Amino acid sequence: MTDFNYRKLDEIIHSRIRLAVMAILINVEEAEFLFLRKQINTTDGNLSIHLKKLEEAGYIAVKKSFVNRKPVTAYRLTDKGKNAFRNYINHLEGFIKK
Amino acid sequence: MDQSKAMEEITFIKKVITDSQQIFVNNGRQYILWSSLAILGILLKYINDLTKISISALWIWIPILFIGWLSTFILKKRFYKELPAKTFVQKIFDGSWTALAVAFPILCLVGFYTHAIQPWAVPSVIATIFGCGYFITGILSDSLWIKLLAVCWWIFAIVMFLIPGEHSVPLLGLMLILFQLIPGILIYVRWKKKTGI
Repeated sequence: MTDFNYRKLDEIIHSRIRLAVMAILINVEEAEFLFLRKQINTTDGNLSIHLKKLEEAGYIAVKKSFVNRKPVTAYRLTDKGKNAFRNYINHLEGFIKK
Repeated sequence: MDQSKAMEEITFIKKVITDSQQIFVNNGRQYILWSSLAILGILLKYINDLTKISISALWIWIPILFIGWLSTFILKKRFYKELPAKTFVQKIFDGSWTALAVAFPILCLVGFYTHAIQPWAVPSVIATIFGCGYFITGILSDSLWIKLLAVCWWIFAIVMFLIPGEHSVPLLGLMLILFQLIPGILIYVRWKKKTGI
């Protein structure tokens, strides 16, 4: 028996797409929407919903700009997001080690 | 959630991180810029020698390096704006070429000025550095033809060390066209097609 409690897992991160977004952003300074979509292989609408959730939780920050006259939306992990991701990983690893 | 599910999650995270880390953009602009400037420098040096104006080689190469660095700075600023994500591999790629670009003036200008490096050895030194840059690029992009470019530069460096002479500089110019300018154009055209920029 383990004392692992799945309820302790961060529900905001505990979704495949949001987890993938966090895993990508932990490695880069920032990433564009199109880059995330290509890496995660999902639709615009689906990704937007998940990004919105992460943004509302304060885990990611959004930056909108124009590059070559085209609008570009870039995302980066906030410190809160980085800590949440690390905690999530630690929690999973702790469970596996038990 | 059981342990196998947790393991699956960790494996998924590792895969996402590994996949995204490996992505980097090489648009070839730097190769075109630096090879064009180097060819211009070689031509000016050739005209200088031919007309016997006898301007010091440093007065040719210092402005060229200054233009190169300034253009690189402007291009990089623009490039980072266009970059979809600055990955770890991108940092290694950019960092490696920046380090090599710093090594160039140290070896070829300071080394030349202090007589630590003989003028006849300069083309070989340049070729050795290019070989290192292309080899790193080939490894990062997992591209055999870029790794072969590195081998060509190193072979040229060895040959020029063994058989130095007046032919070294024009041969370096030819190498720059064949193994720097043309690959740069090819990489640039490919990148343009891929990104649609």
